[in-house]
Amino acid sequence: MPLEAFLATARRHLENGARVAILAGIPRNAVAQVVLALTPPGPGRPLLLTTTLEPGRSFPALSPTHPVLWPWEASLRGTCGVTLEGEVPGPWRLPSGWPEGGFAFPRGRLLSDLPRPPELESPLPLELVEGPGAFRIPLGPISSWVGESRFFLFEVTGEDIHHLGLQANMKMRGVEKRFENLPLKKALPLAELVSGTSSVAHSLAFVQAAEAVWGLEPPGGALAARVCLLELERIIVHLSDLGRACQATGLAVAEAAFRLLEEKGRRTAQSLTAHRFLRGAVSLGGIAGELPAAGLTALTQFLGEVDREVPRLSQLALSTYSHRDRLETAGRLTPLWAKALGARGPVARASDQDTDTRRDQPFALYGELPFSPALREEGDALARWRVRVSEIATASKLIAAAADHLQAPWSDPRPLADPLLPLGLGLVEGARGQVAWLVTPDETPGSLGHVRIASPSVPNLLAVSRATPGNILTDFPIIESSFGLAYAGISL
Amino acid sequence: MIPWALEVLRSGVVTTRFPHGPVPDTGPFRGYLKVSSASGCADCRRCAAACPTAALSAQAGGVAVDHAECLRCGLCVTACSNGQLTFSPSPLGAATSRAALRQAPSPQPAPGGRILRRSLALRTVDAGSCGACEAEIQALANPFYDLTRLGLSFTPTPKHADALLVTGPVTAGMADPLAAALDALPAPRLVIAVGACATGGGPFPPSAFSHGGLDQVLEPCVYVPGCPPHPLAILEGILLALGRTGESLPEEASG
Repeated sequence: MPLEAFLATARRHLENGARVAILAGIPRNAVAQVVLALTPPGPGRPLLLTTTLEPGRSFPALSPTHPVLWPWEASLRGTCGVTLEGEVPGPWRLPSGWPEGGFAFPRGRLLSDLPRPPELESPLPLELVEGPGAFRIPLGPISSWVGESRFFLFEVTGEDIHHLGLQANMKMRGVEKRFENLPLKKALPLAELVSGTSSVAHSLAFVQAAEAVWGLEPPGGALAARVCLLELERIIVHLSDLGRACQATGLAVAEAAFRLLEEKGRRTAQSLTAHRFLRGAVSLGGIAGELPAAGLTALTQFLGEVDREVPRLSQLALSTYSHRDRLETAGRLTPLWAKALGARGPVARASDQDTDTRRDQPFALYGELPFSPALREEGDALARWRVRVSEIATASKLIAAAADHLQAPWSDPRPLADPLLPLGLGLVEGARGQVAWLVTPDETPGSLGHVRIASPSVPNLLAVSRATPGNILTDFPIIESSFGLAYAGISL
Repeated sequence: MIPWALEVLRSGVVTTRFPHGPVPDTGPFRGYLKVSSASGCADCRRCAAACPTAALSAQAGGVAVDHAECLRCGLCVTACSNGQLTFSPSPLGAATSRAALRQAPSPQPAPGGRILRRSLALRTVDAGSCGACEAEIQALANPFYDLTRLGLSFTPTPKHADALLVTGPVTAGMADPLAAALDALPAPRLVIAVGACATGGGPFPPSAFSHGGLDQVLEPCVYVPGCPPHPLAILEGILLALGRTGESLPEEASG
């Protein structure tokens, strides 16, 4: 559609509460195509808006009025050479199409602040803190625990944090660039590496987008298997985050207990797919093969243990004062900010955002498996803990329900035909929130043109920068673990 | 605190005996890639064409595997026209040189003898990983593997560390922080490359974004292949770097 209509439609939907799945720029011969995928505030089909920009034409930035778009808009110039009109800070992540050779990494660039939503008045200072007693404390880029690299800059007086600067582009591997002109078959192992602990979520979003482009229809049994794999991944990731929260509060026995369960989850994954991160199971048009009977037995056994142990351990941890006191009110993300920043997944649901891709845009077999998302209003680390505990129980029920639908055939037997669509969108509710992939076909048969990826950790990292000020330095490990970010998916 | 004390008793002892006992059976696993026999190869070269990382190179009458590059995704196993390729179920396979990873894994000599004794502090540096290697290194601290029983521990600062565990292909943005961490490490020091990205670049060959492997910027003393490596392989790699494999090397390691 023409640019003016694109902008008007986007504004209208955003003002009516639509959520942003992804905004991305895709080079198409000499022109640049800008794609915006929106989802309605409640259940409903996603809306895909596209417009093309002639060379030299700039894109009027929407983020000054709709900051939720900012991280995606800031990457437009790098991914397709489109410049932005308007005051937009950035770049938040380095462009994927960074020229080969002559590479210069802009070091020391900190994200000072993102545009403030006009309707929000923050009681906290958003400017740099100056004067006697004010300090800046850098944290990173190497994580002090066993964790991914990222960089935070605290501005403090004494223990009180007034402002949090962040940078997460030092891990940029050029992932989206690697997919260009790649044969479809070789793309799956790479899609699983976008964010290693969410291999199923990312590979599923990728194959769903590709299946839309090439017109493949996975059979029902494969869709049920995909639910089992995704929910098992969710349980493992949540267990890992609960363990990290216990590590942050120093509750050593509970940490060991959660990590033990996580390890059992990894072994269950191994007996299902011969891989501890469930890799190689999802395939284009279905799943790679029948889930082995021994693996399904191990899965049932593991779910029984999870159903028994997780509520008990959680209750025990929350009745331990030293643990509960640290979680309560730590890293509070208000519902207004959660909405303004487009927070996703358990982080959003703990801040009263009634959103879940599994219910709102059902994929795989979720349309036939009713459930209600866990919601909390408080928006603190305790609320995120409770949402995760509740989601583990839901995931267990969903696996049990989906397991009844496991039956051959496991894949669409048709060979790959010519692409039906010029653009495919894949939406998946991963453990950390909605994962969105855009896929375009190449002129070479069976090859990818471009992919664009939106990870839930992008808006959720921005949410950390909002939730941290007002807390004290020693709260930060608890806050960071409660948001459960995967930094690999942030700068691609 | 009484409920937590009971919790400890409830779970009992779950820790593996490895490396003082056999490799625990953790179920089916895609270990390193095995080529059955040179004579059975149909020379169709489909495996090499299917590989997403150029870990396989077809030669006259056979195929060579570079384990440092291999993601163990299995695309080659499916592509092979007469079933010559299989995965070893062994989770182990660390090696002391890049060259050793171009052959079938075998018991490795310790690099430069035993320079550090029983207590060792480890620092991890994520130089652009996908996060899975970190999860597996963290798993070493869980009650199953419990690395503290071997005198190993994680330390928050490189100044207190004896060994660096490096993951990821060394992205442009992490090259300087990695060099700074290495400078802060007192000698004698050990550097261990963990995971396919660090051992050979794996899916991320040298580009404007990354150096394509740890050995492009410095020489690691041990390579732990796998995507991600099994926690037991990481443990094996650490013990290998320490020259402590003499106390282990179970038969399964060479199978």
